Amino acid sequence: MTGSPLDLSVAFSVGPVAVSEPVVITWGIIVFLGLGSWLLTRRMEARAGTGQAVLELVVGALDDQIRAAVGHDPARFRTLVGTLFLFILTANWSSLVPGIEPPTAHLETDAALAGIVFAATIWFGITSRGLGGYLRGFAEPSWVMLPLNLVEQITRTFSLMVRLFGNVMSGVFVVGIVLSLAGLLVPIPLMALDLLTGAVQAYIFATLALVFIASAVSDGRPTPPTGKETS
Amino acid sequence: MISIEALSVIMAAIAVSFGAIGPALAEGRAVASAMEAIARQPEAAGTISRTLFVGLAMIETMAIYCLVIALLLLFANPYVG
Amino acid sequence: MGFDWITLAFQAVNVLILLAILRHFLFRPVARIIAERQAAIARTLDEAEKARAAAAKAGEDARAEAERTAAARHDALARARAEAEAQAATILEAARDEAEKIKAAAREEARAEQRRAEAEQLARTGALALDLAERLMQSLPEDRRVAGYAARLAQVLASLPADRRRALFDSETPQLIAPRPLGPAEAAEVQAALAPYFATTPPVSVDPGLIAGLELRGRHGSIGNSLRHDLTRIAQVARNEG
Repeated sequence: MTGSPLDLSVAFSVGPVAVSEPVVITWGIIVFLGLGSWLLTRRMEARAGTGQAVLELVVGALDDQIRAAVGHDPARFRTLVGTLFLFILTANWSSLVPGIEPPTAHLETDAALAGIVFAATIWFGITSRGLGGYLRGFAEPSWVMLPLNLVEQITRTFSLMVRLFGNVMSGVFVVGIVLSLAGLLVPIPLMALDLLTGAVQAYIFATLALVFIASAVSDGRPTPPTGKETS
Repeated sequence: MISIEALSVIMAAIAVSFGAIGPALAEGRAVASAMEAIARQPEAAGTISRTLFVGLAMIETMAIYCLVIALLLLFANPYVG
Repeated sequence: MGFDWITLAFQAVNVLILLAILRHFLFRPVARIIAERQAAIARTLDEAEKARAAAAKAGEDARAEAERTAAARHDALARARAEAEAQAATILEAARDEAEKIKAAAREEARAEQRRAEAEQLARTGALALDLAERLMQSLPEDRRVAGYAARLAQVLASLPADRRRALFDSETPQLIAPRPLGPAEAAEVQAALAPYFATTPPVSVDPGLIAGLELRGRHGSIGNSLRHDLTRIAQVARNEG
């Protein structure tokens, strides 16, 4: 255990701008995901191969989830929700690569993700219901709820951020502590638990973002995530 | 008079331990209810288990909050010189 | 600790870039290919539906064609049957006619045969009767063969009309035919019987075939006054009646 898990280590500096390590790792993840999807979707055919079948399965499941939550055309939200899920999953699992700390283990990355979800909620709410309709949505079911709804917008974004950060960071922290105590074989179960936690957190983050967007697009109440297919 | 560092460590331990009690009980109740529901309706096992995972993660978030508080006390304590 | 706002900005931009990249390289193509496949499936289903409809129509057509063919065959059969029946009827008719004709001919032939047989029988019977009469006469006394016939001859001559008698015997003297040479008494009797009609006494010639009797024979006819003549007439009458 070398230092605070909350500290950022600077990778390099360009003039006055310090580029931190999570940013560099995120670039790597971007390259990895972009290259991978380019390779997988380069030759798409109506007669799907294995890789394409897996991709279509993932996208189909995503569409089903969106349809279950929002209730109509999933094309509008597919990109945002899918990107959130894929990025968080890849970032969480990047801890498997030696020497790499997941970018989601740092508060800044999670804050950026939560901020994007917050902005997307407002954007989709306004585009689908109009500015007046969206603002009226805060006064439902009655105007007494107005301050609570406004506060809820902030707190749920904050809780989204802290949930992801706490889970991933605690995993990395616990693995670091165990690694400093016994280096061989002992951290492996914890790393496996880390993988499970990372996948579940990515799923939860995407689902919650979807629920927030769905509540903004329809009306006040967030609908619980329900799906017909088995997980 | 104990120092502020020692107090921070003690309080961090208290925060994590007490913060773990509530989520532990809640997760136990949630899993028990989910098991009952699955036993009653095995065909709905998929939906139930997925909702259970989301709920568990939500409950766990409470413990995570406590952990974050503890870590703040330990590593980012603004009162420590 | 501190909150690094620069890293926050970097990460936000990074996530947005990743969003654009995945949108362009992952979600758009996969969604497009899924849509394409669904369209292809829908098209294939439509085509299958169309093909099924076409097949159903073809089957319907085939069935109608088969029905038509069956009806035509039925018609042809009925026509052929009618024709065959007509032909059979014609042939039967012809055969019946033919048979009728043959039967009639056979009947005719049988009747002719019967007639011929009867005639033959009668002829034989007549011959037998002649034979019998001849035998009988030969066994009788000689004068029996002439006696009485002179009177009969005279009677016949008397019953004949004069012109007929003249036509029969003209002017010339007929010949008198007897079964045996006449005795003097007989000759006188004959002469007496013929005297009123003929100027001269007719010459007498002998013909044993007469059996018994006296006949007058001229150039144009004769008076059959003999047993043979009688028997022949009886036989003739019998034949005509039979």
